[in-house]
Amino acid sequence: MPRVETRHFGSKDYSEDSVIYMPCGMPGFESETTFLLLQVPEQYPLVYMQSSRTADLCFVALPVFTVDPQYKIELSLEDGLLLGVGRSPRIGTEVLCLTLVAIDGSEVRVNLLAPILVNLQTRTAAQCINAEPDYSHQHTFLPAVEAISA
Amino acid sequence: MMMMRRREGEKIMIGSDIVIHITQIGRNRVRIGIDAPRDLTIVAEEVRQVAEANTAAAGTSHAAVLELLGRLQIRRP
Repeated sequence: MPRVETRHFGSKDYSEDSVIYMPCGMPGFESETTFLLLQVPEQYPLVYMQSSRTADLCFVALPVFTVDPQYKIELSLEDGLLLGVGRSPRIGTEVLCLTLVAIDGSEVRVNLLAPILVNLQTRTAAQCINAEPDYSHQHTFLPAVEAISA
Repeated sequence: MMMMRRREGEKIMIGSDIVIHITQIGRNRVRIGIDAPRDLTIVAEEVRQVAEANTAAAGTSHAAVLELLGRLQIRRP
């Protein structure tokens, strides 16, 4: 089983089906094209997006429905072609949709403008700017009462 | 901010070597072409916002993440 150096968990075994491929990288991280999606059962529903190339680079993400159960995505033609899905893919069955989390002090912000989409069949992924209006790249997340798992 | 009215097919000059082409005007979107020196970075505003948000996300500490987890009350599937 291959191993990877991780930011939070030291050296870790992984299976090939946890690898996602981002041909274009991500804005600000264009050369990072392969990530592992790691989950820790006790830390459900957090998803760690660990770079396979840079041990110190690991994003923390949440399934988008955990944050907004009504979330809708509309992709650009280019992103749809890259992912091999239509403009409005079905979240959860056709694609995995993750929102990246940034925490600064007591402020928790999630990026609903540009979620990470993963084609569940091919594992091809992209950070897609949602064409649906009104989603923010720094949506304030208040995990107040209950987050519904996706 | 300078405002200018342009029709489809018209252009805007910025300095001597940047040209904005108004190529298509839709109901709520405009398609533009940009001629500019190759060393000039041109990105949509959202791409820059996302790059900044990604940098902030990459800098989030594990302790802060675990503290967030403690505040989430999750109903498992």
